[in-house]
Amino acid sequence: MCRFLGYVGSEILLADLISRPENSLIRQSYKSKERSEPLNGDGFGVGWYSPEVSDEACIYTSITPAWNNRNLLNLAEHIKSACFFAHIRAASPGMLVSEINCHPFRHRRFLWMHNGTIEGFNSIKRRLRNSLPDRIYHAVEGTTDSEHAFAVFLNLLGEKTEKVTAADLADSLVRTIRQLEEWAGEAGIKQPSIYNFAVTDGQNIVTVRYVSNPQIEPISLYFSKPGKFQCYDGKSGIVDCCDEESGIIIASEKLTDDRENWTRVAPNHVLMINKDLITSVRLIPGF
Amino acid sequence: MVIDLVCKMEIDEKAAGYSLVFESEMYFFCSEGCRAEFIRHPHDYVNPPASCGKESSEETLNV
Repeated sequence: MCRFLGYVGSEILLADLISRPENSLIRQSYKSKERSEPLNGDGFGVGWYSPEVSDEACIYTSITPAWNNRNLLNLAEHIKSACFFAHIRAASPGMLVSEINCHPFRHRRFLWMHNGTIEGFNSIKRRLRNSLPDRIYHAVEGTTDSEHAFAVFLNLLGEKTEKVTAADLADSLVRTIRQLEEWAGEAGIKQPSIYNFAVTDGQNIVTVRYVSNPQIEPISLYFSKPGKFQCYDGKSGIVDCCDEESGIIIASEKLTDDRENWTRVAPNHVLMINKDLITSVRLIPGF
Repeated sequence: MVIDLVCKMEIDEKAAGYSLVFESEMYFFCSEGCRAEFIRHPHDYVNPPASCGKESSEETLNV
């Protein structure tokens, strides 16, 4: 399993979420609070948007643990962005540790992350790849189940030339899960899969907290209240502010101990955060 | 109509298929997942911290 976080709103330093908070993503890489195994040391990645330069996010990935990477700390302290994803990896058994297997994955203006496992992936991989058109098939660079799920999502999203909405992203995300579950059923896979996916186009963020057996507790996922995230004198928190300074965080674990600022995403619900920082949570229909 | 405390969705208590009694109160849920989540962390929902987030009006998932 892994940990991740995402942010959308007014520009902040990447360090404000990645390294500075009490339970920062870097801290979670060696002392995760909500996993039985606290280590997430199989690499990391950060993707951030600079729209004055390009619609596509910039990606920085490495196979070194996040807790041990000077470049990550330096970059995080000097990069501001209004939308970014960050991910620390605990590779599933059999999944190669390489830079191209680090999240977030990027395709055009979209970024994608996954926390979880597609059970029996090798049993559905051939049929998954056969479903992809050439332009997406050839875009898959790595070997992970996560990146292949992204490919399915992109195929279902289709060729959107206009800006997509959060609802568009959510529709395609839910259809992706449905398709993966369908293939798993056809392949006779009985073990439950865990699909905490997150996707952004640089303006909207959509994420899901899903497990295919509702009796099993899905992996943790939270979102923050809108506000300004501040780190001062070793303490961090979210404070109320005007809309122009506001932002919302999604995170596998709460970055701070102030419970009132964090809401757990309900199991098998999709969370949509649009560019106006309006959040909406909806149940994923049963498959 | 009642509110599912886990996901905050409004649901029809007459049609709600998932419910339980906790500390003498009846609670209704939109799904087995929300009911199971409530059982795991009841005090996160019964007396929660102040709510957060600006909720949208109805938004439909076309799936």
